[in-house]
Amino acid sequence: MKKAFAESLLQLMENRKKQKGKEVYFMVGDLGYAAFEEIRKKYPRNFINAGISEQNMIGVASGFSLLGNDVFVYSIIPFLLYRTFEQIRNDICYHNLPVRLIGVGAGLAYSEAGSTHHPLEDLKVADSLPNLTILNPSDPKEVEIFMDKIKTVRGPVYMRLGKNNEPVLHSMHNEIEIGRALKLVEGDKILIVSTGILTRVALEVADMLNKEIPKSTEVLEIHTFKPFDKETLLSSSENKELIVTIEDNTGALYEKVTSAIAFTGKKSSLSFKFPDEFTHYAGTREHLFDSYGINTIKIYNKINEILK
Amino acid sequence: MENTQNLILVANKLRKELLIKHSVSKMSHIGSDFSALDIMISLYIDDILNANDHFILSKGHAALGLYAVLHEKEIISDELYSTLGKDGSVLGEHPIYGIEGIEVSTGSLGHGLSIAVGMALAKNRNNEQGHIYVLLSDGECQEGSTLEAMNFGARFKLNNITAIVDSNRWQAFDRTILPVEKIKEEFLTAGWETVTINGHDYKELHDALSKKAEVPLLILANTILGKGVKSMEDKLEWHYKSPSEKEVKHFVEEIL
Repeated sequence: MKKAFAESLLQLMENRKKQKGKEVYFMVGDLGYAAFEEIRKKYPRNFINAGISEQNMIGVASGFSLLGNDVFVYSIIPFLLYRTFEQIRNDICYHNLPVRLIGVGAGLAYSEAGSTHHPLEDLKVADSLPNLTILNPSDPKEVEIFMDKIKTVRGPVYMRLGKNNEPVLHSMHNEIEIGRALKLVEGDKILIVSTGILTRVALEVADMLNKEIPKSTEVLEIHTFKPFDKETLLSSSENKELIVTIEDNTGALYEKVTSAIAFTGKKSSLSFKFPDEFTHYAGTREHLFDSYGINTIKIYNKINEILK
Repeated sequence: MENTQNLILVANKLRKELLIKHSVSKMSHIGSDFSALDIMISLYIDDILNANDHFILSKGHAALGLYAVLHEKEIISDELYSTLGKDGSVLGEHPIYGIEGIEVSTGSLGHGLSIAVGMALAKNRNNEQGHIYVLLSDGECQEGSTLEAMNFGARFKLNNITAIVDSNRWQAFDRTILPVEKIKEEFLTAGWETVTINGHDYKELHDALSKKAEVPLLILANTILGKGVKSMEDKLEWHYKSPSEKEVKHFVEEIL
């Protein structure tokens, strides 16, 4: 996947040069040995090694983007996303800047490196940020497709990569659209929902089950974790006897799937919470809560409305 | 350079205005506004900033001071300025990008210098005109990210950035940990050029802010929290309190 990313990025830079379009800048957090040498050699002005200082790297990317430049930022996921959380929240997501954050080492990809290098909660962490699109490709092919389509996303993107040598899962026939869950296998009893690299396992399990009972198991790949395609999930989960989730995270996918399905029964439900967006106004606390519909009278009225 | 006397008149007017704005809105940080105000007056009213230049208020808590200057410069409209302190106004205690004249949302310390060196390097790599000005507090030089940005700026020998440190020697609940001499030493050692000035002297501000260096430039501006109102000067409480109506009457008289 790393290789697919490097090649796609090089291609993007070359195309931009040819079309004399906006410059593409590529920033790394002191990484890239045996991966980005060619990019650095061909485009030294577009390659920036920010050094071992990730918080600053994100701020720098924000500065580039604020002045209208296209920026890709690359590091190992915990250093890219955790160390810099506030910079990503304020300087990128709050400003809704089209900075592309590319994280490497998803899940247990850096298995030997130990827990400091194992992002097992990054989907949850990233999901908490308004305006951020989260891409979790399952194979090198999907990385290529996302690199091609990423320009259609106007705000910030976090894309998580494994390492290298992941097998290709997608055929040319798969229509991969950012924001749309992808049905890889059809079935009517069991639904396996997967995200990222473990989609390979989902396909293998489905294959075994479908050999036993043909057309029993469906596989739905959530390659865009945010925005989450609830609609496709709900239509796939309808009338299934069992729903299975597979992920290399601590329940980020499970929680998304269960919460989407939980309120599909006949019982009405209401929730009072903040929307997934930043606040943009000042004022008294009462005023702000009121604008979100969270006060005694508004909650009381809403409940009565539903019960009518 | 604009006549110093004129700049002082503007400063007095804005300080009086800010006393009322803070009093009505009950917003904090008037001490920081007064500490940073002359620097921002120099940048905007003394016309240091050119069309291609950018300004980032990294110490976002001096936002009301910035609004006052932007209003004086007619960048923020009367209509918008009049919403300050009202429910639903975009003019909060910290500035938000998208407001006329404000490009970067700040409020958490230690972010502004990174964004500024990023802008400076972007301009540099794209061969674009324009200078980046960023105003920091001395306290935020304690943030590791500020020091990361300092080293980054030096590494790329950015000659199109000026960082100004509003050195009032206060953090929010104590005197700053990193003394101003130490800040100077850090930046100097990293490869920045540094100059120390009185942050309330318009002549010194003008000279330092007009200076162009071969490497990134740091201006250490010695300032006083609450500057301009004797009863408020160098008193930590004005990081928090907003003046009462009675205090406003009394403080306005102290502004000469």
